Amino acid sequence: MSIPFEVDGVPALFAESSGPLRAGLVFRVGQADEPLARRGITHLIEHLALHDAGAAGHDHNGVTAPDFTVFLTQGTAEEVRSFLAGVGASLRDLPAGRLPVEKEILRAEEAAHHGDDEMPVRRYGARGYGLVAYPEFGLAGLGAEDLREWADRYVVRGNAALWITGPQLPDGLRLDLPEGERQAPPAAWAPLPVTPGHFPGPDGVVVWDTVVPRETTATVYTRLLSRELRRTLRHENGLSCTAAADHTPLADGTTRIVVLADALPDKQSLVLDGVTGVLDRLRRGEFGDADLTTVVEQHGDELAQADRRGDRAPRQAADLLLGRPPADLDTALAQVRAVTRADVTRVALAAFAAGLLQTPGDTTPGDGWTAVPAVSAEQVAGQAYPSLSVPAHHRVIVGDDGATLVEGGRLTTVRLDACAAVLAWPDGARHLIGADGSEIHLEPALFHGLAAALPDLDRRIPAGLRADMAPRDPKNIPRPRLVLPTVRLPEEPAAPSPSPAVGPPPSVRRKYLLNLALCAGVLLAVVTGVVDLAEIRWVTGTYPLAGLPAQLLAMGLVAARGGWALRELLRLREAR
Amino acid sequence: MLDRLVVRLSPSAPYPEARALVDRVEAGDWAGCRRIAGEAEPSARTELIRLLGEHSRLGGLAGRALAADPQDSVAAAARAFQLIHQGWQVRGQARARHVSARQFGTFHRYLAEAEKVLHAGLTGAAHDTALWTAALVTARGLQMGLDHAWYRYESLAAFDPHHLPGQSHLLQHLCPKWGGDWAQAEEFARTAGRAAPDGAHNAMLIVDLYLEKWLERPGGRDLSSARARADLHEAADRSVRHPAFRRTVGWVPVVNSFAMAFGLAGERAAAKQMFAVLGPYASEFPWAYHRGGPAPAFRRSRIRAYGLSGGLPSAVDALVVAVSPLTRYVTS
Repeated sequence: MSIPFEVDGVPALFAESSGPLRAGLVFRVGQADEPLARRGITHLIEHLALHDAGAAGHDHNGVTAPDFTVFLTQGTAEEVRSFLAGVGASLRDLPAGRLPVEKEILRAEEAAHHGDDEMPVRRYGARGYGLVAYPEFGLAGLGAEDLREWADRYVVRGNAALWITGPQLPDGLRLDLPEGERQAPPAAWAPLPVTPGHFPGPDGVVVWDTVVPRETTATVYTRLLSRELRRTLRHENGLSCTAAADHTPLADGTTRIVVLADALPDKQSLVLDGVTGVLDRLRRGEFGDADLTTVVEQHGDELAQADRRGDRAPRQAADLLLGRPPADLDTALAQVRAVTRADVTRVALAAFAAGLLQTPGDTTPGDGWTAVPAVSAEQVAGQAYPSLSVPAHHRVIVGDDGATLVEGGRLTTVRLDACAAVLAWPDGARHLIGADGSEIHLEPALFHGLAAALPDLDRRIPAGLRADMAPRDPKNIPRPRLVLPTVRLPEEPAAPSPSPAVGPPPSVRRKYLLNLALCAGVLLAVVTGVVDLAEIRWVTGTYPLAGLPAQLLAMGLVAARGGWALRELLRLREAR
Repeated sequence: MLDRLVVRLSPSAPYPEARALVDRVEAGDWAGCRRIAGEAEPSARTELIRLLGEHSRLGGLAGRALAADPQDSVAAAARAFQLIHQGWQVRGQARARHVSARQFGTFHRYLAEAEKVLHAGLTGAAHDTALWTAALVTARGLQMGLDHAWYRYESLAAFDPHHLPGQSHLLQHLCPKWGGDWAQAEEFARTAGRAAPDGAHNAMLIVDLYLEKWLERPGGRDLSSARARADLHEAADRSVRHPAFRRTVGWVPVVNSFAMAFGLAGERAAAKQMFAVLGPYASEFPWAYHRGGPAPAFRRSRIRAYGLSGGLPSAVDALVVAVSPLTRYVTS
């Protein structure tokens, strides 16, 4: 049972429970609200706000979720009062001096936690709930001014709600928050062009993801799905160790359902068939009444239990911020028990139709699924810069409209008018992220001539999209690695002497020598008078060389021939 | 007039840059060589570096420069061209069946050494078109196959899409004598020849294709068909006879190819025009395809092109051709 009340204009609710006194201050802001270039700004504010509270000894924590940010505490009534006052004071005057240290802490936290989950980007692109999948790009470039601006908009009185649970409501609670308005939830989810779709992911895991309107039946469906998956994949066939469905209600009025099933490399196509089989059966309404009843009862029991422990209060406080009246336990239970087979089938159909399937390795699902295209159809017009690693097939094209990466037949295009962020490193590297989630890394060292094109690109980056990154260790800047296939070369070392004994065969030399000797002989014979040219008689009885001009011409020809032979001989000597 | 009396085969004679380069080589001035090569356009640069590598006085100059600075891509390319040239001298210009196994062994070792130099050079300077051109020659000499040749050519084309020296080597590889076929060779010659801007030298590829076909079947009618003649004229209009044609490094073999092809096709007027453009400058290629050596072949073709209008120069040509032996060892 929860009792609504108000603290200094902030809507609040108290849920009586047997456990310790706990409180949560909720703001309607999260990762999904951040521009990609400032990714991490909410988390950073949460850390700064809690820094002062760290001095107090009692339990406290902060959570930045996709659409909410919560400051939590547990302790005595006095501790809760001072925690709320402390957080309020910190939010009014963020300790900017702590900025460098907190940035380092966040960087370390991220290095430890950031996985790579492709699904949110596939579904939402680089905006809204898709932003959850990205690292906190904004950290390096964020300054005190940016934080102040963000906090003034989102971390304000109008955008806050408070929940308290425990044996009794402490008195004298104060919330001294900056004034401000309620913020709208992130933009509603836009259906994907191709669903139910599939795309290849890493080996060893099948992931399925869908979005349906938020309602009680969606929760029941998820529980039923989880139960069926466990039974099919784990108990009956022993294919998966983990096979479960989970659901998250989102601020945009939808519920996101995610199925995860792990698979051994040689069993992954069986696991894939198992997952798609279960989804198919549920949408056709092929499930037992007993199963539905069990699931409904389990859910009802868990609701009742959560209510006794006060665990429903955080969700109810969040609902307050979304303008949904908190439902009391009886209403909630009645809604669960009213779920029928037809309701579940309807949600199963909608869920299947909006589904995205990440298949392990090179497996593909059966009929009814469409491959999500991984290749952009268009490329920008502009100058091409060939890769220095695979120049034959890879290049980037940078133009006025954006950039295209060509890798063989695969094109990735990011247009500047549909760009979510441009990460900029001081060493010149740029990373373009399109609103649809496609990414191009422009590394000046890897593409010939690209460095000269980047300043021009920088000037065209739309305002607010640039995220300045921390300098990279020069060791981590990639270098081109040329791919140049060759054949097995002869093992013996070549004779790489500067000028090897390469020359014409000796017969050539002999030929020239013979030519020279003959010509010299003829000339000598004529000059010495051994042969008189005028006396040479032609077969017809005439004397063709009787006249001086004819004699000179004949001698000229012989001399020319001799001269030619001599020249060639000299050339041969030179070549040696 | 005097120009018509002599034939100059020296590959460096027609180009001032090349003469300056030879000067620097003979002075042992590597920095000067680098500077001259560095100032040239990509195609001219490749031609100059090849000339450098094939120059008989280069000796260990490029090798020493490369040892001193492994990043020096001009030195790497010159060294590679030198090794290729030396290897080819061992092999000789004959068709494979006339080359002995021992000659082939040595030839391959030289090319393998060149290939190593090229790998090292390209790893540091993958954008160097001269290195890629040399890599096309080693791929052909080592008989790596057309896949390798295409990969190398596409890498080259990424940096300079109209790199004639590389295109010529690929065309050689695409001919049946090196394991290709006429259809591929023809498609490449036409595409690459037409893709280049007006006035560029690249239209020579189509001419070379016809000369290769003629070499394969010297008695054939490949060159004298109406289509071939139309192709030759079209190519000439786009290159040699285009107002934008420039006498940059490499223009001499281009015009020589046209002269020889027009001569063989029986287009005397066009051939005469080419010889007029050439003056005394002949090139080893394509005249070496004739028996008897390039210079006499050049003169013989010139006599035929000028016919009775040749006058004294033609008479001199006739005289020199008459005293030339039928075979001649070519030194360069």
